[in-house]
Amino acid sequence: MNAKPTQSTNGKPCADSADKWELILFVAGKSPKTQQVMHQLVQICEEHLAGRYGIVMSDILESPEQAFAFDIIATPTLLRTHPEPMRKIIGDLSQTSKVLSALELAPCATG
Amino acid sequence: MPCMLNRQQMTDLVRTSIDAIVVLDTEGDVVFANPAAEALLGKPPGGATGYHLGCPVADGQPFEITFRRKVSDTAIVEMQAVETVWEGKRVFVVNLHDITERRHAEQRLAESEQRYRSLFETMSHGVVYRNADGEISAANPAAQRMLGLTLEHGQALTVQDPHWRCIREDGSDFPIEAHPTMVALQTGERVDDVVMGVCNPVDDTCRWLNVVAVPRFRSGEDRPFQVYAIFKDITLRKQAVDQAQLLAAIVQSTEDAVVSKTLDGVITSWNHGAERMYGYRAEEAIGQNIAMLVSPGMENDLPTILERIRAGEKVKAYETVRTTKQGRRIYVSLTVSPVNNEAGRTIGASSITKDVTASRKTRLELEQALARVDHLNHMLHTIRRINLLIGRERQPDVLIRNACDIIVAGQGVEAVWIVLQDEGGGVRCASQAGIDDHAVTELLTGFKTGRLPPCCRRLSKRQQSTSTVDREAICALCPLGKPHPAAAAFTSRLQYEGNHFGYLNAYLPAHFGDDREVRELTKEIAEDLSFALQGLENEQARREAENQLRKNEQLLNETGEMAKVGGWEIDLGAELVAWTQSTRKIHEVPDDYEPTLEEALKFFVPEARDQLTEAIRRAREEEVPFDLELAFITAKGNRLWTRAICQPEFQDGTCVRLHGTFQDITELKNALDERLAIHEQFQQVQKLESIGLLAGGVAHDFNNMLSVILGYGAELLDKLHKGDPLREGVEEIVSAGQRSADLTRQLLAFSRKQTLQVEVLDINAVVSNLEKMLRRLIGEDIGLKTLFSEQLNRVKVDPGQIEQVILNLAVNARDAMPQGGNLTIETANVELDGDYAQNRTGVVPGQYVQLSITDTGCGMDAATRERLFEPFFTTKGKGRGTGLGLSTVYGIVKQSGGNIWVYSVPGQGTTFKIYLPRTVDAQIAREATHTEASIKGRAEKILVIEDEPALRKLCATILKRANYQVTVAANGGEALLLVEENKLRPDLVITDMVMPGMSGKVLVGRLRKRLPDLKVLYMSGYTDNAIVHHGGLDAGTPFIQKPFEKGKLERKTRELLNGQ
Repeated sequence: MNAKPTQSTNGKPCADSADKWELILFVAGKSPKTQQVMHQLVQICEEHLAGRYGIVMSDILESPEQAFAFDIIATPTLLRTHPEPMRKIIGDLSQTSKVLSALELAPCATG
Repeated sequence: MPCMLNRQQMTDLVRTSIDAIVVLDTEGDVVFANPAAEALLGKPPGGATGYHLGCPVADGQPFEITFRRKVSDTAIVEMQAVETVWEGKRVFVVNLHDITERRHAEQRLAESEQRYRSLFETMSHGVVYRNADGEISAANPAAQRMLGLTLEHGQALTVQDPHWRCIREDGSDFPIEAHPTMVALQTGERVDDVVMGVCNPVDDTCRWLNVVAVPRFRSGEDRPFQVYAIFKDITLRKQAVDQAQLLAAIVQSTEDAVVSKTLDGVITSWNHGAERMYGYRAEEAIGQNIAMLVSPGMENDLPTILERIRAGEKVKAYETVRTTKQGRRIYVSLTVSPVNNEAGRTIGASSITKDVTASRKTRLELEQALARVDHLNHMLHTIRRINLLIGRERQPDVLIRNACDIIVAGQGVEAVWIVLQDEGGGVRCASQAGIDDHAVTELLTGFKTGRLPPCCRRLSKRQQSTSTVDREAICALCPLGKPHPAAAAFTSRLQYEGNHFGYLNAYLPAHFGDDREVRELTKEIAEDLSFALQGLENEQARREAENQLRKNEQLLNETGEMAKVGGWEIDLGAELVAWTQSTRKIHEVPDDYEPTLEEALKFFVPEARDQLTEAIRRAREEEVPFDLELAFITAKGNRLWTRAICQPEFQDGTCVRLHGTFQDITELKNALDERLAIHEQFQQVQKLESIGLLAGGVAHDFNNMLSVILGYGAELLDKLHKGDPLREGVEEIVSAGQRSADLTRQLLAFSRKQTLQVEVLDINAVVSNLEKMLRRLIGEDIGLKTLFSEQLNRVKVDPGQIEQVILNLAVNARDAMPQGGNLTIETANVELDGDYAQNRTGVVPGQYVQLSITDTGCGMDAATRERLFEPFFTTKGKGRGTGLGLSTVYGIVKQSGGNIWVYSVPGQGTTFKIYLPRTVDAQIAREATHTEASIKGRAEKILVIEDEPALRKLCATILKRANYQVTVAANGGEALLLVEENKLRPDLVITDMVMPGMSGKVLVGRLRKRLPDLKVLYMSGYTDNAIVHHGGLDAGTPFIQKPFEKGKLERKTRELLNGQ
């Protein structure tokens, strides 16, 4: 895995870095629950990654090939494809702090 | 009491758990999975470890995730993750509980409930749940709607609630205990089909419900804890039933017959109205065929109606006739409608029938009245149009043709024919409209042969018009009876003030045939036409009269103009004169000229004017007519002779009118004058002719005697010695004889035209020979002077005639010089060249001998000069000239190929110049022929025939002496005897022309039969053309004029025998 200049010294991406986050939210069908998860995700991103994120929503019922490509078998699953390393989070994202932690979006200690 | 498990127990528990248990590291990778988890993740035993499932975000609360291992395999899993430390590492213990089945069951239940809820909510039946105590626990929207309640409203209400009043079908209150729900609650039995009215006292509406109540039991209980009522809103259906009952009642109570029947006409229902109307009771009628009601003659009605019903049509207000049970015919109006079954197929018909017998009568009367008004209006309109036509049309045939068209077009009359007759009763012209041409032809044939149609025959005896309604009897015989069987014939005679023109026959609609006003109007049409025809006839007569008058006037004018006779009339009061066109033409004034009497008189020359004025005065005052010839000058200045005749008209001794004729008689007068002149001239000529004949006759005998005197005188002189004392006497006798012969010749020259016996002559010699006579002719007061041109060219003319020309001109000159003067005769050779010839008509350029005769007399003016050569023109007094002299001169000169011109100055004299064409032929020298030897005979035989003995003897003597053998005969007979009997073969015959008995010509003709080559010399005292020609001599026949000299006879004889 290549190191990127935006990466922090401990190899984890820095929340303050100018790098754009690319996220894929895998869901199954268009249930109200799905909408809830999406809503949750957008709130988190707006709060912590405003202006530098992109979310793609992928319905595994509609396009199973994408889920297959990332080896996703359960939904909802949030996949961070950038910055690397790729991270996979499973759950309904209702626990914001846990999500931030799982995404390692805690503010960087130093600049 | 808590029980702690050991590790093995824990491990077994985890291994055998039906829940999937997974341990994940913080990265989300599987570090442990029990068999159930391996199955859920689709991994083989032990194959799940390291699988990156993802980091769970959880705080111990379960949440649902969806597993999707294969396309068709989706599991819903409740996930519960707990973060813990395992073997020193932070891990997540995740419990995955498959709730797919549960979820599916829940979903099916929800769907089922939803379905029932939906049914409950949307069903049209009302559903109400009541608890055992009667409170409503639930009501669906339909129930709320039907009961007019909301659920909130309805809950806690009981059936006793005053909100509702329940009633039975008969309107009585529904007792609470009988309420189906209450019955069901109490009995535990289901209650079916209770009809109940639920009235809302608030808005006073009532709904009818069909209620089913079903009790509900809890298991094990025998009393219902609940009842539900299902009810249907039957308000509309109930209303419909009520309506049907009402309708049935109405049907039963109506006066109209309401009947239903099958499509075949079998009666299926029959109301009271029908019973009353037709007299059949319902039980009698039902099952019968409706045809029993149909009246005779109306059998077609029913099939027609039923046919229309089968086609689904409705038949409205169909009027027809029906027969009742009692046999009465009634007029009915039917309205028939199809009756359809539920499938919409027509299975029968229902009819409503009204008895319109009474109203029909009224209506018919009204219709008739209206129709009559319409009809009368049509007739009036027709009359108006006829009157317009009358005002416009001038031809009777066109008039009646247009009238027929108008009459029929006006709709008041179905058809019409008009026949106009001539005076003999024949057909003058005819026209028709709305009738077959063939029928009309038959009608006209009838008219032409005197077989009038019966209607007209009736008219010819009776009044002016007649109506034939009873056409069976009257019109059956008529060819026109057929075309309009339903019409009434109305026949009118076309007549005006006793003047019959013909007939008009109008076919009126039958029901108006006897209508008095219709008849009157029809009659009026006929009268109007009659009036018009009379007018046209009058006009025709007037036009003809006018034409005749105009023709007469034209004839008068034309003939007046031809005869130049006009008319005039004097208006005695205004002193004005009226003239006819001819009179104006004579006056040469414009056609509109109307003079006063004074102006009219001014056209006459003064003397005539006075004469006329006096004549008019006498006519006016004394009733004396006049007939005057008056000199007159027209407006254009032409001088005319006119004749005015006047016949005054008197009444009671007063002159009331002066009128007469006026005629241009100028030509008449001139012609009369001219005729008088011609008559005089004619008389003159006749006189001359007579004188000529007389002179000729005298000269004949006289010439014979002179011939004898001269002959014997010459004989004697031959025999006497020169010194013989008798000689002087004989010479005197011969001289006197010659003078006598000259006179005779003069006499003949005056009175005759001569045959052209042209000779080549010397004009000088001719004039010289005449000189002696000329001197005697012109008298002593006039001097004669001759100026001869030497070497004068010869001309080829008749010497006798040229002599006459000279004599005539000399006489003319003498008459022009009564006081004496000089007469000059000149001769000259002249050449008339082309230039000269161009200016003189009839002149051929060439060499001429000019003979001029000039006098010094009174001369002539231009007018006289112009007419100089005209026959009978003379300026001399009566008896002094024939007026033929100069014309004879002219004729002779022209005949001789010459020209004559006259030059004259009044008071100074006149010159006649005669140009005779020069000839190059040699002149026969007269002198030469006088040589004795040349003219002597050579003993040729000559037969002389002459009735005058002395002359016969003289001839014989002269010829014998000239050495001829002469035989004489006194007449033709003798001569023939000598030739035919005595075989005399003369070489020459000398015969008198005119003899008693056989004329010279006839004699010669007979002699020549025997002697074809016989030579003949005729003698005659007559030399006139007429005599010669009457005697039948051809021009050029040898001829000797008496009296002849010895020498002349000898010469002629010699010439002939010499074959010249």
